[in-house]
Amino acid sequence: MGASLLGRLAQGALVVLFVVATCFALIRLAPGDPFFRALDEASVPAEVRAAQLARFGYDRPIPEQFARYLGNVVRGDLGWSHSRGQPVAQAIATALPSTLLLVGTAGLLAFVVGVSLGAWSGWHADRPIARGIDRGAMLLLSIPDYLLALLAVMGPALAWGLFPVGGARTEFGPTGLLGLVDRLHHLVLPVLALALPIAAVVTRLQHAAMRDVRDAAFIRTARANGVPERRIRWRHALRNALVPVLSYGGVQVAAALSGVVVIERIFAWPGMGRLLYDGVLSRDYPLIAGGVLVAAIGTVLGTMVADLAIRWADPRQRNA
Amino acid sequence: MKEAHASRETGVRLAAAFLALVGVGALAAPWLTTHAPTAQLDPVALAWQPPSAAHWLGTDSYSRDVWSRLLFGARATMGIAVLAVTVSLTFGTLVGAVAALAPRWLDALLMRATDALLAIPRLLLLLLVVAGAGTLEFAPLAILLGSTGWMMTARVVRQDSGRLLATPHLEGARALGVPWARLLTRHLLPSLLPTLAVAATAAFAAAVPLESGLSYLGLGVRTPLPSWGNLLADAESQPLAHWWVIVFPTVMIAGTVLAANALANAMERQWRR
Repeated sequence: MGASLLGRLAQGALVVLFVVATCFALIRLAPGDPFFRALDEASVPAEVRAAQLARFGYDRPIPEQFARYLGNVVRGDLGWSHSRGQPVAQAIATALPSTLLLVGTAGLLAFVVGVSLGAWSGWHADRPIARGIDRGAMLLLSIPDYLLALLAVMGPALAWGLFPVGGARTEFGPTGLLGLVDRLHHLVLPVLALALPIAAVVTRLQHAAMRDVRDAAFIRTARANGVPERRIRWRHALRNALVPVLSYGGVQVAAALSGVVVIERIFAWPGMGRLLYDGVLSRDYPLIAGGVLVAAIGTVLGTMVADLAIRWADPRQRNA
Repeated sequence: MKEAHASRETGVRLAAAFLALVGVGALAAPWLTTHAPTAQLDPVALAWQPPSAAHWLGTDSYSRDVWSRLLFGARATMGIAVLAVTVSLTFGTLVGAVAALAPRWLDALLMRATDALLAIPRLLLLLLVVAGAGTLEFAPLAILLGSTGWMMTARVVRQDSGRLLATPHLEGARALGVPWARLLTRHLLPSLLPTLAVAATAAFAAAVPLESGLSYLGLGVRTPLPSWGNLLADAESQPLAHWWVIVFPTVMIAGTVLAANALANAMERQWRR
């Protein structure tokens, strides 16, 4: 177990390195540079621009830049964000908690709602309500998250004024307990837009897995042995039926980040998705590299947690 | 149980009919519309017309006919999605099938690389490339979507090929010394067809929101050319009184994805059990 964990960590580190290197190279190959907004004037002589690029080492070959960047990262220096005028580490430190709050709440909501709805409806798969739940989930997962977000902004936020249109809190708003309420109020729509499609997929997976496991031999055996029905359902059946949902969760971590980029843009949420989006549009090389580094580490950690959870749920996979 | 089966059949037929209608509408768009999708008829007098006999689905803020934009938008969205799926399916199948037939080290290398690519958020990759290219034409956009979406297909194909290679038919062919290229094209690929049909339909259901999402963000198909995604971008932040500019693209996107998902499910039930 210890050796395999070390191996997995090494593999994870390789993936992070690969992801960061890919994005590092791609953005440098793109036309434009971090100074295109400030220096794309006819009055700026080419030498000034060249000097500015040289100052940050952007005139060097990409592999050399990458090697230098890695060296700096190891020493804890993520560089300077040109577009935000602050160290990248500082920009990430302000953005990351907002995103973790958003993704954490949405992920928790999606999995709790999805697993309980799916488990119940899969166990009672013959009832009309259960089939209705499955169909409803199918409909919901066909609406892309950006579309849900857009509809949420247009209806509940703009037209009916029930929720704020964007942001994570009211500027110069209340503090203390009221401030907390204000933050939760801002959290509702983005969390729902992010969580509902995921909850729908989880519901369907859990529904199918629970329906299949219902008639399995080991459930019949447990029943014949006189194990109480509650225990059969929650300990035997659900634990087994969690495996597909957990492996979906592992794959979903990277996909969820795509969703975060869109949702944060629509709701003006000051998180990592916005940071990456703005970084790409302003060609802020160090900001992109730092954001991608954090995102890749998060993805790899998420996948590993999902793998560990699968091993817990399905002992057969512990030796695999 | 029988009743459930019958209603399921109806659902699948409805889904197939919907997709077929959208396809025909997209192909026949010039003959089914009376206005050019980008024509600004009269931005002062004819903007925000509700649905009427002259404009079946109303007009938008620039007095463009929503019905025309929806149909020509279907051309963009469906065309890009179909081309993207073709690219991702071809590449994914090739990687997955070759990995299954290849020596163990190459198999491991290919599949680990696939896993690593899956760890990059797809939208970020698309953002980076789109930022580099500036504006993308239809075909490059489709190829870009396809080339970032083949990994799931490769995984499914690798998994299924492994299962198929252990069946007597393929084991026999291998034992008889059939060369690997022939084994791939004449024996493995035909057996993979059901898997591929499911994978293609599911990939299509994923490509439509992705294209429309990119176009919504202003990074895919750019206005004034219509796509379902940038129709939504034009409708953004409008008062609900102008419901026709938001409802119709929403119904088309959700309906198409729903129909494709339903078809993929039905095929999966039919063939892979």
